[in-house]
Amino acid sequence: MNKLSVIGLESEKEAVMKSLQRMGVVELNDQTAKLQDPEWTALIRRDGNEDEVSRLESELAEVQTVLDAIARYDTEKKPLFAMRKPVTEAQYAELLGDGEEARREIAELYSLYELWNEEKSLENSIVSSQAALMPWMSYELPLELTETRSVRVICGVVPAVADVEALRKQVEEASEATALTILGADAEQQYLSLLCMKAEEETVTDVLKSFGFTRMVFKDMKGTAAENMNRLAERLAEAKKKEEELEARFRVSPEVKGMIRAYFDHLQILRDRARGSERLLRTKTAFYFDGWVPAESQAAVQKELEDLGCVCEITAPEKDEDTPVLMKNNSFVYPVQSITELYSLPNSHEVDPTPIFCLFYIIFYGMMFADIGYGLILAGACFFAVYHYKLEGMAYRLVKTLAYCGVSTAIWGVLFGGFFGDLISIEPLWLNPLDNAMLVLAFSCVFGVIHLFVGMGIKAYMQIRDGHFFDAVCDEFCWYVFIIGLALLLFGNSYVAQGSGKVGMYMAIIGGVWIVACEFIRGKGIGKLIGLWNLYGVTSYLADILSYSRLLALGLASAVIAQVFNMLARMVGSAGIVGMIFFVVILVVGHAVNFAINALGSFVHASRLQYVEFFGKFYEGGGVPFQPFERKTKYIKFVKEEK
Amino acid sequence: MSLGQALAVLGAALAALAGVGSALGVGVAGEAAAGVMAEDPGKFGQTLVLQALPGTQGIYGLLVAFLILSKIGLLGGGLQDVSVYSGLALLASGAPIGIVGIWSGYAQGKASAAGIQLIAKRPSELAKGMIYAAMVETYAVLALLVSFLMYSNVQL
Repeated sequence: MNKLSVIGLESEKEAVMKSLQRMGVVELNDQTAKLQDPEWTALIRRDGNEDEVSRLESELAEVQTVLDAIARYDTEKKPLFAMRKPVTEAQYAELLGDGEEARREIAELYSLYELWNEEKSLENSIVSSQAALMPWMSYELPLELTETRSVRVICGVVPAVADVEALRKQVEEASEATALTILGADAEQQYLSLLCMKAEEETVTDVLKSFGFTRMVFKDMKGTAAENMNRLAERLAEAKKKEEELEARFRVSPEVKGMIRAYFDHLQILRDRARGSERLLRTKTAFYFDGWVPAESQAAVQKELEDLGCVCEITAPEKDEDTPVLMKNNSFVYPVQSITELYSLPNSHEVDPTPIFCLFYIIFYGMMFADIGYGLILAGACFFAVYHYKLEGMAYRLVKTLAYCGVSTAIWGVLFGGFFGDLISIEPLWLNPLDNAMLVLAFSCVFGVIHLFVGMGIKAYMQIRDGHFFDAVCDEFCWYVFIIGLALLLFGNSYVAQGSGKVGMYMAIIGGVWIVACEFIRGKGIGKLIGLWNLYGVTSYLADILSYSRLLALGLASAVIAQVFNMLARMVGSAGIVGMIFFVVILVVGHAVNFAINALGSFVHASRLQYVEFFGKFYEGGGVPFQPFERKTKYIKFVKEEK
Repeated sequence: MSLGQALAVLGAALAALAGVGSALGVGVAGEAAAGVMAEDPGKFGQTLVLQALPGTQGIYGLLVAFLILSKIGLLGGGLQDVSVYSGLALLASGAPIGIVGIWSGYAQGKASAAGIQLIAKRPSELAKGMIYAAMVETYAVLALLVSFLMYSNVQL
């Protein structure tokens, strides 16, 4: 990763930005620091085009609304994973044309959407009026009638708790010529209508008020409640029909949809470009920016920029300067980067651990899952997903990693003799871990030691690279000797060769003395004795190594659970047709559950062995990902011209 | 049924108690997951993954229980003679996963629930939430291993 500084002419700016965005290999730096530096501020100001950005943002929002509306009534089959449409530059230009057609379509669809919205809110208001009118259905007088020559017509509600009989009584006491009807009641209110003489209206209303009566006024309604209800229903049907008509028009042809999507991406690219210019500094006639460019692209970038009349300077980063991080791996290792990314990117002074732990990860995963059937299913499903759905980015990397793990699982299945547990019985190529648990346990720990030693080796490499050879000797090499010595001392005679125990003893002594001596040379004052304490660190190595026993334990778990389900299935399987059905159901459900739990468990524990045990030995992480100024698209994907 | 056989069956029962821990753990994690879902329904898949993690203790318990029962031939007929001492040894072999499973399942559930809270705010940190929960599971794995080694070396 190298530093790029560029000065160019304002008149060429559009062309420069366009071509940088197309190349997508330069990260533009934020220039805020320079804008606070008086030496710079005397000459330059921040470039940027906020008006353009906000104009494009609002247009994008509009297009997004249209696309959402289209998606809602889309009858085209949706793929399981969103796929971006691959287009070449030429196809893209053709798809978009001058954008006029897309803009017209979008304007039309957007106005349709607004109409649809109006109908929808009309529909909502009709539905709520219907609900309000519902309790008055049994009221037979026209709603707008409030009086005759001498009679007052009152409608209203009292709370559900009010005693209506008492109300009736008191009203009749107040005035004899009254007619109170209870039209209905619900959980909150009781609905009443009342006829009384106009002359006595005041006394009657006083009584009503004391019962918490609220008068209802029916605005803009003519005729009886039932008539109004019918009218509302008709209007509702009308609104719904209109909505449906409008919805039908959202079912656009795939070509139009493709065009609108391309236009969306086009707007997004323009917006990003307008935003990108905020990272430029300018004078009246010239502009300046700096940023990062990966070493392998710098020649191409330099040529492109110089062709556009810019002056550029490419310098290597200073020794302790942090640069953005872009991991570069071959196509086999590339997917496993996802495991590193899930933890943290390496910082710019570290080595990328992915190619080193990649095989360990795959082997550990397979060992913990270890079944031919499960492995084939996992690998098959993942390879299918990767190639059929053309996954991209993180999803691609993770799924592809799991596909590798599936292959490894199947291979370990062959070694350990598992095919859906013991459903299909095969002879293990190596051994059956159920019968040789101790051996597999030892093997797991040996695997662990190798894994840890590799991790320590990376640390030693980095220390030596940075000129700290003595630290590498103290922190790693003497531990190599000490741990191998201890292992030989404890297990050498019985497992490796007669007499190797003695060799181990001497190695352990040399290693131990060495560890103590290192601090004696390196430390200062009382720190010279810290080597003695360091010896105690052997317990942490022991814990790390024993942690690899999960390779055996999880392998056993997936194998034995599979056997449990097989056995349960066989127990019912002998009972005729019904038994056969249960046999199949138990097998399918049981193995599906076991597959899911153990595929997840193996993923988590294989990751843990990398993150905690392996990374713990050397890895710092905390790198900032490289974020180039590029064309970010949602629906289309630029591919190279086919020749 | 002899005393030895009964002790072995008791050992299987003890091992299967690890499910108590898983039930508690999955329950605690499920409560947290439902809370997060109320805010953001798009997180179902992620929260489900974390909720599933404390479920393994119950499975380890089932595994050991099954192994013990099939060793004495209780499953599929052909009950074998088990001496009192062998029965006691099988009882003991069920204990590690049964007892550790209860506590580690519950504790892992709490770690998972915390992981679910983590992804509510930072969805990209799912992997770290899973690792925190898996740190707890280590001890259930070790207990399973001890149970298995004891079981596999007991002679009837």
